[in-house]
Amino acid sequence: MTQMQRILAFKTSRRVSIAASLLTAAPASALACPVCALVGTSNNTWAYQAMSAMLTVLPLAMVGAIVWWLTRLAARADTERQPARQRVVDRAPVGGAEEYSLALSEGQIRRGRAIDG
Amino acid sequence: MTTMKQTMYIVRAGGRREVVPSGLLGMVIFVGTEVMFFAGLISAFTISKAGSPRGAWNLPAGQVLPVTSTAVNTAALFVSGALLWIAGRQYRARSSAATQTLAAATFFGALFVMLQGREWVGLIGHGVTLWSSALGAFFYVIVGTHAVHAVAALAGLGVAWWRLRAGRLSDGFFLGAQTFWYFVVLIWPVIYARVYF
Repeated sequence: MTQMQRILAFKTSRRVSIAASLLTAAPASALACPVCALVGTSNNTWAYQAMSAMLTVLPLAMVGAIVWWLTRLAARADTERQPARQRVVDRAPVGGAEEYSLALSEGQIRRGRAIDG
Repeated sequence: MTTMKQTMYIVRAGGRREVVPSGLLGMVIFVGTEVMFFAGLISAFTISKAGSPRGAWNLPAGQVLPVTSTAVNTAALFVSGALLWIAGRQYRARSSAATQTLAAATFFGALFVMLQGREWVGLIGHGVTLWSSALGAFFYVIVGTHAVHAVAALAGLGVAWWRLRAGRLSDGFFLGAQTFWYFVVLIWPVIYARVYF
């Protein structure tokens, strides 16, 4: 991509951003409420917009909450595993990486079963 | 030299681990879809109510929704939720009292459903049906859908109680049943505030 093409691409993206910003500043032109057209009360328009906002935000909030919850659980599981790993290292036999790896994994498995039980 | 079984243990221990019971995660995702289902119903109710002509959003023959008696039913539902929370703590502490507390939670939940059913019988007797008015239609659809969820959740609690008594209750099942009942308990005040007032 030449210097001129880069400049043109930057200008185009800037124009698109400005146009999008202007459109969001004029929401009345994007209002698509079939019920409002029938009744035409401001109360109904408000209800439609509030419910649209709720139905937009609610699923995003729930997905975000579930991801945050799982991340926190995974982080907690990691921190709980650290002391167990350290104990296994302390008791590890002098027999090379393979024996250390086995001792480590068996220690974790025993610990996992104890939690499940 | 490591055997095949030992190697698989290493892969399992190092690669995949369960941070939350699958039953609980599945129930949480299911409850998320149910929340959206009720949000859709409440959204339709709110827009229709706001768009109805003045004085037209009524039940037939001057009937009104039983706000006070439903408040009593709501209290029974909250008691049930609180008892289930206590049962959960007792279950985690491996206390034998969890069986009785879980039974009491199920009883209060069933009491809520029965009292709601009694209200429905009274309303139908006064001519409030699914086809009598828009408010009647929304009332029966939204409250009826909640009642169906409550009955399903009570069945889950009943199975959990039965398994707990038999000593065969898994953590995943109990947490799943608990989550579903909490959903039924917590969505109700939203429905009550929106539909009854």
